Amino acid sequence: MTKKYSDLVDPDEGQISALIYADEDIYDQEMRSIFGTSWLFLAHESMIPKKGDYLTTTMGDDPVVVVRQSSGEFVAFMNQCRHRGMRLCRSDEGNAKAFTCSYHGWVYDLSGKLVQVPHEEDGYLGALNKEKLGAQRVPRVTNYKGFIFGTWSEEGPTFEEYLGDMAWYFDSFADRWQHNEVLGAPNRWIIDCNWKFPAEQFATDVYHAETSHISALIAQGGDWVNADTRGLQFSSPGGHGTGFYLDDAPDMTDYGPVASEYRAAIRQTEIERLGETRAVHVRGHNTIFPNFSFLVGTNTFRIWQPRGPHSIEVMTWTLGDADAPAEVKDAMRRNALRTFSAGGIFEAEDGENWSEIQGVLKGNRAGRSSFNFTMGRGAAGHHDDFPGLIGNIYSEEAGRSFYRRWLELMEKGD
Amino acid sequence: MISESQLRENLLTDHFEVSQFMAREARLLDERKFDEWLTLLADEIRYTAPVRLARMPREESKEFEPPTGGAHFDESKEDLAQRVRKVATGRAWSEVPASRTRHLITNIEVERAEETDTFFVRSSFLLYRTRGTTYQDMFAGARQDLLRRQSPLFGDFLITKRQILLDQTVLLGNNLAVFL
Repeated sequence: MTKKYSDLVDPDEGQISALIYADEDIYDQEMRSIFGTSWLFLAHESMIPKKGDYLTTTMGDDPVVVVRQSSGEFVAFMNQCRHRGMRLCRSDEGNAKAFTCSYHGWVYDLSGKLVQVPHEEDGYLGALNKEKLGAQRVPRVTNYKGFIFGTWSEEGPTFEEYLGDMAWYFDSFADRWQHNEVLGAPNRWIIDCNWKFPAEQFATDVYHAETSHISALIAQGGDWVNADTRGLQFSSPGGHGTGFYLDDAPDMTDYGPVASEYRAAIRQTEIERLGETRAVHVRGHNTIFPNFSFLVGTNTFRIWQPRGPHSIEVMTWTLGDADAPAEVKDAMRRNALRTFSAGGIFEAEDGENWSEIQGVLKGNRAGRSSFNFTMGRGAAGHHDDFPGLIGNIYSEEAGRSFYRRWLELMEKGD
Repeated sequence: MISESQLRENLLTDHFEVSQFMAREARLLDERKFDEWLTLLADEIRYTAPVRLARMPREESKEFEPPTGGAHFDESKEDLAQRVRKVATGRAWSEVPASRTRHLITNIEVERAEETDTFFVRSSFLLYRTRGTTYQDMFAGARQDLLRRQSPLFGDFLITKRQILLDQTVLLGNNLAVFL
């Protein structure tokens, strides 16, 4: 990497070099500059409701354990023993009293403190300072309306500051219902693509839907041809973005009659919670920088976990209204899985696009090409009803903002 | 009272008839005759593939998600028909050009269920898929099917229930836009 990042990424002109999606050195720098400093999604509180409930996930490509403490608080620590670096916890989720390394038996408590070491006296001669050998703790973890985020940055903005104006849009998802409940364990799968393709798409790109997803739109039925496609896009200096239609029924998906009745019944409550503008209209695609994305309406949310420059692991869940009848929750869950999951009738085409692009970038000339992000340049501005920089829904402003933030962090260094 | 020899004969014919049915079903999928494949599914079919988790030994009973939990598929016949309609548009880009698949169905065990003319069938599958030039993936797992005899004609069954137990927890493929 001899080029400067600003030679590769020109957000103002809307020119992004393909190199940033396929270069090992750039990827390594991203893990330090972006995933090492940003607020990253860890869990939803309903995934680990009881004391000792834990799950394993990753922050960037670093494995972490997220644990519910007896106080109800959440702690996250590196899933790595301080002795020889062995993975401490090797299940996806469960309930534990402690974590015992299966290599030499070092025992860590629920907060990651080292509490027991075999042969401490006759081996270490009592000279081991257990206090200093706790699992590497994620220094800041926050619970934002049930969504647990963490960052390796000791200092810097709070999560609310990090969200900025995006908080208003995130609340359309996180705060729509009084109680949220994640409906089941995640779907996980590997896509051969760079993590920025999906993250950027969910920030800025409703444009692809009518081409990429036309088969699913046709198969589902409904009059999407004559649908009102007026809408807005929000973009943010934090790199977050969302786009949404301004009509009254923007969901691409249908839950069936029982759920539709329920949703009609709670509509007024949603309006009271969020205000009419937000409750009715802000129901689109979203990315919270760098890799947390969600769709309001379909209620799928996911992280795009980087696995080297050419691969991601997707983890996706369905958010449900905890107070809804079981039948409605089931309809919501099945609808999200049917449309957005590894087998989802919409999702399949996205993975195909991203992995094909990634394959093309193996070419020497193709890998040095430049991508076009010029849609709607200069058109975004202030809007009385919506916070932040607002443009037309058909715009790449949020993409330019995503890469502007990317560039800012990459140039800052570690 | 049914004689031992009659019982054995029943088991042999059941097994042969069900095996032939499952081979035909697999062939229809691999030949992409999805409309014809749909005719093998009962209207009330529930087609599910629960998410699988790596669990510690004392939580092994929770290895597969419950019916209300995470799933790769949890579909009705209409949902499956929608998938067939999607492919039929010719614009389902994840299947254009089409994948080449091979459904290998083995280890078939057939039991007569309580209800008359109903069979509980366990089998293992390996689905090999290749696309484009060099893309390939593989999904292995178990199927647990309920079949109902439709008519006295040989192999004339309907699938009334299919549960797919995949071996992978993190699926090693770009998508799962396939019938299992």
